[in-house]
Amino acid sequence: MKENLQTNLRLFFGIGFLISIILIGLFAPWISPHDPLAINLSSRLSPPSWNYPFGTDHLGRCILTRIIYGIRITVSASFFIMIFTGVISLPIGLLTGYVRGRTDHIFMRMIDGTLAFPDIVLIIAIVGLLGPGFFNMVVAIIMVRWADYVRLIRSLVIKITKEDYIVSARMSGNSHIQIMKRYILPQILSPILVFGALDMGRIVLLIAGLSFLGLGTQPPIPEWGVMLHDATSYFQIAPHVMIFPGLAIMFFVLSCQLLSDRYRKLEESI
Amino acid sequence: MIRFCFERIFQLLLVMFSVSTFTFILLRLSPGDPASIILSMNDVPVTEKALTDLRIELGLTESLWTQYIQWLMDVFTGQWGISYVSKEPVVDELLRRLPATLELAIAGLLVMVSITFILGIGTAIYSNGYFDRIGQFMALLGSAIPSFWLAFILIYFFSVQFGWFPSMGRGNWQNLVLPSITLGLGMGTIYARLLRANMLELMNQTFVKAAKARGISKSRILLFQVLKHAFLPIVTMLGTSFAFMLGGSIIIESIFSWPGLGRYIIEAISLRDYPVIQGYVIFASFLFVSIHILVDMIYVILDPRLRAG
Amino acid sequence: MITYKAPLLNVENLEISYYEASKCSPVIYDVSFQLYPAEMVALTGPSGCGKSLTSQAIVGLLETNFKVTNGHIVYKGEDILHYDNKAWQQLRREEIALLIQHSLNGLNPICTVKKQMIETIKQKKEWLKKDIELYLHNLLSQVGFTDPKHILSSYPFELSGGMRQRVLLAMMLSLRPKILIADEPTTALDVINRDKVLSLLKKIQHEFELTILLISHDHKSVNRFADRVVQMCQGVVVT
Repeated sequence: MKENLQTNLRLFFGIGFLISIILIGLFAPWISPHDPLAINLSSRLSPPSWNYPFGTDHLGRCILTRIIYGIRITVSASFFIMIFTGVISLPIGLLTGYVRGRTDHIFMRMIDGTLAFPDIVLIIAIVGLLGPGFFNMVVAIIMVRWADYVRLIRSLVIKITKEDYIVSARMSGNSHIQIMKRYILPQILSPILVFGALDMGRIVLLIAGLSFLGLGTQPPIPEWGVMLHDATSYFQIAPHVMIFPGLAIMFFVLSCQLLSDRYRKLEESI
Repeated sequence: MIRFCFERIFQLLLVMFSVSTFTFILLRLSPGDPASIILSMNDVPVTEKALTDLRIELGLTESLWTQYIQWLMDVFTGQWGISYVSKEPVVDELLRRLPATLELAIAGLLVMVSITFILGIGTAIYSNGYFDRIGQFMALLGSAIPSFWLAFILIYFFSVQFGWFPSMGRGNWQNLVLPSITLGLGMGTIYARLLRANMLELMNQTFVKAAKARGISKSRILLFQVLKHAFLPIVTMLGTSFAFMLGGSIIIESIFSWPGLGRYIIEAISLRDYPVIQGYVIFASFLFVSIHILVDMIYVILDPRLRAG
Repeated sequence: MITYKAPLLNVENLEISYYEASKCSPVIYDVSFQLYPAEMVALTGPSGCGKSLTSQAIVGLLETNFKVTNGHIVYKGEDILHYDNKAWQQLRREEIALLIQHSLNGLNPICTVKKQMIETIKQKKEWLKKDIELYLHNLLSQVGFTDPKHILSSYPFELSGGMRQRVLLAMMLSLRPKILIADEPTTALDVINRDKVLSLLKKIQHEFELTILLISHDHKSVNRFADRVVQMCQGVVVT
């Protein structure tokens, strides 16, 4: 009971942390001290000070401001990718898990094939073939990440359809659509959310990594991975240009993980 | 065993076929026109005549279907085209860079495995103690730290500040230290958690109780009886993680200027060297599927129960 | 059968409690019985009355949530409840062997029988290679195997349940214990094999001059073999 309360409290903090990050991103123009694109060559690479809390980069742009604006790009992109992947994979997962048969077999082959590769390699290959850029990166990530979602949803659906109450619901005259809507969907929703929260962290890491390699978001857009890309040539003399964007990525990913972890624990305890 | 091998080889061919088809489709979808890229790279003025001549030479005027069949034949006969940039066969370019990447991936795997063992066994023996907490914290960080950022931190401290290890290029073992740690650290801490959980779960098994009843000590049971069991599922993941090492090495190689496949593909992408990108994709798929087959074999060798069945 | 010798093992007023969070509730209240040298005593009672717990307490292998809260276990005149881990290990190696419940699964499935047997006997002393072979062959034929060589090179999953149990028994005997505690050795077996195992235990008792504590919920079949029966019910000894 006491532990339950503690888990609840941490979940609350996890959600609170994420919401405040999103709010900061939304109100970026009012909160941030400077213009994210304003170049000020006279104060380039200056260390943290009152005026520039996180210092400035190689073009004299305020790093704190750029990190705050970076929330907009990174978080909204990862959110969009997550939702879109979910929308694609939910019907496929439901179908393959519920109907099984030949369709399921074909999809499983595709998924196994996709998952045989580390996702970063496939994504880089796709971006490479389509050409670098923000849009192509988003497409590539969706093309690779759907497989994991479908596999999860499919296995959840298979597990539930084996339960006796599904059989009895079918006996009492429910159609397949009704069974999916009433019995299966509500049950698979929360594990999918847990997975989604965890995956959001992973996607942020992917976006940052691709942008870092110059394959995703392009400069001068303030994005965390791009900022680290810019930092490559300067961090040896001015380490603050890489420390703060990296910390931003890490904290975001960590809070996604905490959220999914705590949520799962709460689920289990109920 | 023979049937097993045949099945796997068939699987390998199937994946290669799908990947070739996939790259063919994607390349037709991409906006770049190979002919104009080649011309501009060779500093030839881009005229209509030059373009059509080159297109005919490259077979781009044929029907899509003929191009596809030609492409498949080329893939399976090992003729993966010629790099736009270096004018050398793609296969040679890739093979030349393979050893560097394998070296880095194996070093990363070694770092990972040693961290997994030390941290995993340690936290299993002292479960719920201080050491265990540290392990848990490290695993949390290990999955959240971006590898390229970790690389920056390592370079900043061990190369810039203390000057212990070089931060660029490939040479003797000192060059290998920082990239392999960057590659292996995160995964190692995560696998250590898995190993710990596996071992603790196995400690409840009947055969462990029987061994205790024979007066065999706890550490002996953990090391000689439980570890092999707990490591079996990890072996499968070892294959996945070797593949992950090869994938992760793309970023790491770019940071540490490591002359391997990863840095090469990034360069090729920025120069739009399409034959190299295609070749890399096919080469990588061959590599990854082979690794999975190899891991399956190792698994069969390690677990006598599978050998009999 | 009345013996006037001193008891080999004396369990006096044993109380075992279950700990959960900060609560502690006794599950075994007052168990007392004696084992005299070279006899076979059956400890019977319905399932869940604490027979297994008692046997685990005697060799110091209680699960982490259980603790002895009262009473004594005296072996050869020494109260073994004060032992530390090392002394317990020594006791299990030299003196009291426990053939655990579910002994059919008592072998590590991915190591050969030979490897596990050698690991067991090497704890006591260093052996010469040819002595080991001979010793293990003898042991396995004493528990009724006709082809010990084949058994030694097998993996446990290649043997039947009854065979695995006998291998484990041979392993316990290899340590030359004074007392053998067999926890429900018959439950997972069919009727024919039950009598076989019990006769085997009887035979071994004579050959090795063992004292055997036989734990079983099935008092009918046990009564025919045991010299004496101790009955337990809900955490106390009733006879």
